[in-house]
Amino acid sequence: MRNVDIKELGHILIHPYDGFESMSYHKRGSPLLSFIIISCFFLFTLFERHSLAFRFNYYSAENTNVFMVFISTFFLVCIAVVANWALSTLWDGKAAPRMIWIVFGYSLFPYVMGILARTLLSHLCTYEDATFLSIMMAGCAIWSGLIFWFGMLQVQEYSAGKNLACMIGTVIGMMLIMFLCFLLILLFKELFAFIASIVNEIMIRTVM
Amino acid sequence: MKKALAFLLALLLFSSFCLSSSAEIPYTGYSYDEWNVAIPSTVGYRPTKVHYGDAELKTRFNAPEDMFIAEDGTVYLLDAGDNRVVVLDNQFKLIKTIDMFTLPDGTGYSLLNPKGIFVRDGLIYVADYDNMSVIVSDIEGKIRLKLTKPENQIFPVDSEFRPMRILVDSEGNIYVLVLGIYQGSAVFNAKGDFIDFYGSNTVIPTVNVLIDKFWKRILSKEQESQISNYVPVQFTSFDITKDDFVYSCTSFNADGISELRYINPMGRNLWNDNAHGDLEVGWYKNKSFYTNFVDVAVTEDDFLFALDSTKGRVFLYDPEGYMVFVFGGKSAQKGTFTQPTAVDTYGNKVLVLDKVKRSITVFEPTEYGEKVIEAMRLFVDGNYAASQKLWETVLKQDSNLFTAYVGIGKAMYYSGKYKESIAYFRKGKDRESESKAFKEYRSAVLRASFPYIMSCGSALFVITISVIIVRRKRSKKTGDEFHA
Repeated sequence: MRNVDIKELGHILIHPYDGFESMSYHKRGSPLLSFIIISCFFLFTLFERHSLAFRFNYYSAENTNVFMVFISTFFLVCIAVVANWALSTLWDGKAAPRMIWIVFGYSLFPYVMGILARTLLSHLCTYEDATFLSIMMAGCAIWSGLIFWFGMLQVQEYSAGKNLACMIGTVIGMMLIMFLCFLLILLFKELFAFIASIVNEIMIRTVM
Repeated sequence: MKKALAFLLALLLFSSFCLSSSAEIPYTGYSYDEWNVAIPSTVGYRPTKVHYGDAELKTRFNAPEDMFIAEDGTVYLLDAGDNRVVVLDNQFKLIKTIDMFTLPDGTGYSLLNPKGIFVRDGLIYVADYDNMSVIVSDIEGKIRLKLTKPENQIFPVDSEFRPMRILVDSEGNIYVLVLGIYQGSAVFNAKGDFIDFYGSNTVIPTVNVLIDKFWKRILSKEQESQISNYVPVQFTSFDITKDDFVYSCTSFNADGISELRYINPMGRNLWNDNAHGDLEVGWYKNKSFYTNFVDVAVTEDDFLFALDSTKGRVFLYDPEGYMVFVFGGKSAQKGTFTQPTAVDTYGNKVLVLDKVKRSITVFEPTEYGEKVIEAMRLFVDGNYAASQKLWETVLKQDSNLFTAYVGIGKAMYYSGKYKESIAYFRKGKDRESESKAFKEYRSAVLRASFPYIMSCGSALFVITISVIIVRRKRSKKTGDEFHA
């Protein structure tokens, strides 16, 4: 990650179409910066759960599971990247996995910063000002969505219709991957239980 | 010597501790935190006496169904097993029994499996279940009025008139809860004419109800008749306040919400749709233990006692509908029940009738309970400053009582200590009040720092303006030079 990458991120935030075009043309962009942003997504979500102002914070500290938060943030993005890459290779997209990773990371930046801003600003807001916070979050989400849309359009070199189809396909792909993950976990559980029972049986029989 | 003395002292202390801790209360108190998880709490009511009837009464109570306690403490007990009314004074001494009533034409009338009793202005109202009538009699047993199934177009023709519970408002209107009538309680005027139904439960829109409603739109009339109809659940018992507001309880509602309702004279529920009773449902041997309310009793201050027959517990609710105490249980000990059927109050006492144990158990508030109820009374009346001291002593006995923190917070809030009140609202988990207090605190801080903010701001403004002016002048100069 160089200074140039951070400068380019700033450019992309405001001019996503041109920014991603020149980035993919010059093969720039930093996967490390993207990784930092996605990690911040996880960390700031945790931070929000812990230190959102009392009047907005309905999370129970006792029931917070850091692992589940990790799954629903960092891991989810990873799955999305994999699904998108798998789909785009089938639908002749032009992006390398590195580029998809960068687009996902860069486009999350406004949303991640929104989470942080909401956590901090909530300490200055009352119930009546909650609208302000939610409008801000909605704005951040839309901003992130726009960056993601133009980023995908550029790096995959898709038409708008195909881009939309690709995004819907990505969501379906994510569901499929999660389903397979569950299946795998369950099967391995069975397998381990089976092996454990065999080992138990052998132990008991040989010892007796 | 010193050691021996110390040992002796310790022994003494320990033994006295043992004695005091072996209190007779056979249950533990609990309340719910903001996630509806039960947390331990100090016991608010303790059993003081169990009455099995007077020695003058030759037999014990026989399957008593309902009781009514008048303002002077006279107990009117409906002894359903012997089909009689037993009247006891407030010391539980027998005043009289009414075994036989006389109709206006002089013939005798005996009750048959009566279910409900109410007394107002010296008249006894009995819901006579198997005789399918309601009788209004004076204390001598002379029947003044007998109500049977009304011949009215509103009243369902094909259902029997089996009255279960009864109450009378200050106008003399008689409210009768009839088995199988889901439209609410049947209301008769003082002359015995049927007027209307009152205070029915509403159908709670669960997913099944909505799906069936959708199908009914599509299907034909014939097909529609095959789908089950959804009607509100009938409530099991009710009680009336001195302002003619009615509290009703339902044994089991869909989703377990709105089982206790506070109905105004228009028939609308004023309490929110909270779940009442035990919020954590127990499962044991494939059997669930949902709260099953069988009776309610309201005090003069609009505090509500609701009796649960599943676990034999009595829940106390404040006038806003929030749970205060839980006491009672199911066993054979003093202060627990086998099959509780009725609850009523007299002064600060709560009396619970047990049909199988054939007993009346008297509960009185503990020292802690008395303080909490007094503080809540002040709190509900808006007398926050007076309640604050009580709350502080209460918190020493039970630091899990959220209401106490909110009470102190509100007292502080109304005396202008916003910053301190925030901390208490946080402990009491009251988000709305905390937000209000924070708003006041924030504006106070802003007001205090306004001169600094304003002076800094104006200074910044002046500086920027002057910088702009200076720059413009310079550029004009350079521009002039360029042009020249």
